[in-house]
Amino acid sequence: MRRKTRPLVAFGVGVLLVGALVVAGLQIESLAILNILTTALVAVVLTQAWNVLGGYGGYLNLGTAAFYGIGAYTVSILDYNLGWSPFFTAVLGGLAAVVVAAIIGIPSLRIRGVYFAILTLILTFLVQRLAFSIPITRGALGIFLTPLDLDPRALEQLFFFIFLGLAVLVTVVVRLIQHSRFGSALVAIREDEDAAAILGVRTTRTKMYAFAVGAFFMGLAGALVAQRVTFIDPDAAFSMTNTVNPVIMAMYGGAGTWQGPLIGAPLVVLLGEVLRVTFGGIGLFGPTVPAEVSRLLFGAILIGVALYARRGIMGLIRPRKGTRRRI
Amino acid sequence: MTSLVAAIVNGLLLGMIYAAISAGLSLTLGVMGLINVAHSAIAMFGAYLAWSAMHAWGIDPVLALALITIGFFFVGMAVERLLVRRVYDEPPEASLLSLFGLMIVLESILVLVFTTTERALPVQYTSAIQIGFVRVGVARLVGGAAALVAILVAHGFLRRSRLGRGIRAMASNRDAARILGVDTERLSMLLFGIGTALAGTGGVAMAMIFPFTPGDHLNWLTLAILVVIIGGLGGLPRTILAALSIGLVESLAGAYLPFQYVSIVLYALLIVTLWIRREGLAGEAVRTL
Amino acid sequence: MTATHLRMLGAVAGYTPTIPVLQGIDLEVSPERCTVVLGPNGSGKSTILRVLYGLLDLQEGEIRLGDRRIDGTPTHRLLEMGVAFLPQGRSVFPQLTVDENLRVGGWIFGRDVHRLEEALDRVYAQYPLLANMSQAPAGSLSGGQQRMLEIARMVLTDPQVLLIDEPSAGLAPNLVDEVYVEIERLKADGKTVLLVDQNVEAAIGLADHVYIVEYGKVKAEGQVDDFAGDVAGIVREWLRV
Repeated sequence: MRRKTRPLVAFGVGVLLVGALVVAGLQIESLAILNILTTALVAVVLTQAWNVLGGYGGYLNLGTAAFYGIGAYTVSILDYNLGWSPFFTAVLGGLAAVVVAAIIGIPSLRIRGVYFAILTLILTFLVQRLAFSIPITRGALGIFLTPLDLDPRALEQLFFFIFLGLAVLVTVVVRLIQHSRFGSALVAIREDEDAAAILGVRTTRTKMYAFAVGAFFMGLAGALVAQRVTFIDPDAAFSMTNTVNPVIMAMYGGAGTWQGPLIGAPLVVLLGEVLRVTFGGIGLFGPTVPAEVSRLLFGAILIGVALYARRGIMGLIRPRKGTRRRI
Repeated sequence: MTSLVAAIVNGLLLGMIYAAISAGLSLTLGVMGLINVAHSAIAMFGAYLAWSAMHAWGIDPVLALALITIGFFFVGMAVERLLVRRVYDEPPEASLLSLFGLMIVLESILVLVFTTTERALPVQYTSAIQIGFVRVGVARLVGGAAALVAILVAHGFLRRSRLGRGIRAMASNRDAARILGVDTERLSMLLFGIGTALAGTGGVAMAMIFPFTPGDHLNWLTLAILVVIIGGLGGLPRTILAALSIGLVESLAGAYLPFQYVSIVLYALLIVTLWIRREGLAGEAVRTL
Repeated sequence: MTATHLRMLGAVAGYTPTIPVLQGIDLEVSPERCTVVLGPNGSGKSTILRVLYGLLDLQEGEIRLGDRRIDGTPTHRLLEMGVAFLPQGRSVFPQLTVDENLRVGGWIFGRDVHRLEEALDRVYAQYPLLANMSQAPAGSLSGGQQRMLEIARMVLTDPQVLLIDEPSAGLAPNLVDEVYVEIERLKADGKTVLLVDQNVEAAIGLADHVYIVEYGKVKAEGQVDDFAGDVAGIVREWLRV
């Protein structure tokens, strides 16, 4: 009985939540609040995307910023040079991220351990360096995108609804994955990769698909954010914050569940806002708070999560795999 | 001909400095199976400490290098105790994550305190000296020599001392070492201290020859990982050899390529090497010292 | 060192809190005797040694050496009390020389170089083969030689109680006998031996007292002297599941 009603309850809550957000998007007057809500929705998309391989599969992907930036740069270059609107090319941004994910993932996901995490981290450094250096990205000058001809409120609303839609889409995808054979295979890999392989799970292929699905949504999100902010440069597009936040948000909410990112992402965004307002009020760093303050805090939170939220991490990371043998 | 010899000499000195920045990473990975992603951020912290010491108190960079190397030894032991040991028995991602957090914290502090303005750590004396018919940058000479000394001290300690023998035994077979009563926790702390001290040496030495901003440590990290992967985990001599060859390649390539492309070449080289030498970081590779 | 009993009382231990591998084991190892633990794979034999040596924590029960409770004692303290452990499988440090391997075996001597050198002299006299190869990397030794090095390393600190886990596992058949001869010699020297083994025939040959373990419990035990005739046959009878 309970088992039957629970999905229905979840579905009902989901519909109510989305409905409430739609109403909020139409009714809220404050552009600042709408802006924060949109930021939280972007965070949900990135965290959910990270969640597929990171949460279910237990493989630490430190390349979210790279895929996000690749998506952003793909659409920006197309817009700048050819005048193609990101709304039409966003999918290309996602696909570009998938191509890079394949190049990185095929060799590195074949083996285990922290190798994959390091390679994705280095990928981020490399693409950022490239964006600074090669002519087509215009280096540190960055790229201006064609702004949309809309009044500020309509703009905020537009992107609010775009990311609401994307967040719902990616959450539905993740939920479908969770209840599919593919999802079970990922969890099996996280829990015990040897056993999974023995039971016939094609581990490399499964991890690769999960990595690609995540990279696609990361690239898609980056592409649409580029249109939202209408300017990108290598620092912003490949900001390490975009790599760190999904990890923290997923862990907060519970990695490896489709609900986790829905809880964790808004919570961390809210926390960031509270910190910003508080520190801004104290004036410790002057009237405007440098971005590094929040980075510093998130770094500290990351340490805290790694050290103290061990069960949380154990939920994320498969036990006993690739670990040191104990006697 | 003269310029070629100069490029080789300067490349080797550069390689020695690269060896210093890579040696610590190689040791912690080889012995503890731990990829210290905060390594380069710690090195960069050393660079800024030396810079501040020079500007605030007029302390000579070479003296600062020595002090920072010693000081960082203790800092490293504290870091191991606080951030690594408690998650050592967890899967490796846990310590990777906490060290990643440390990297972000350190970099943020540097940006907040020193801003992203490019700094330099000029070695006073003269800019270059003539050795035979080769002109050698003094900074490279001093940095390279300091790096060599630091690495030799670490190497001697590992090869000759009782604790060094214990550390090598631990690297070779951690479980067997524990069974024989070797205090692997204490030795891990000691080793992490040595690695961090070398990061300090390498950071200050790097700062002597390259202008730096806080974010540059990521290039240092990539460089160090590249050295470790090319050299393998077969001990410090191999790390030095790998670093020297990279310094040489870079010095020779630098004559023909614009500066910013040199780092891209390094990144690309790293990804290609990782492709070829997968076992380099897999953790399953035989660890030796 | 006076010879003392090593006892395990009501030991419950395992790798997950819910399913203990050892489900209340009582075991007594008499001084200067060879006690052998036999049992099928997965019965918890090796776990007994790991618990005794403090590599795995007890959930319930206690371990005593003489009158002293020793569960929870750190490894180096156990070695100082004269308890040593030979794990299953290879445990040499392949990249270190034979001499370095032995020196690590004397780790608990600390900075007492004098004691270490004395112990090294004694062991080299006992194992001349190792003396000849002292500067060779341990990894270059043959399987049998490595096993001898492991045994020599274990006895470097002159321990009284030896915990030995499947000493012949992974060895070529012609080397197996050598290992048991060596254990026999240690027993003759007055060492207390607790041997966990799959090799029933060889282990029984050494045993004074036998325990049969199954599903984490002691299924049967007895003095070898009490059995008339075919001990190995009786043990096989017990082991037949």
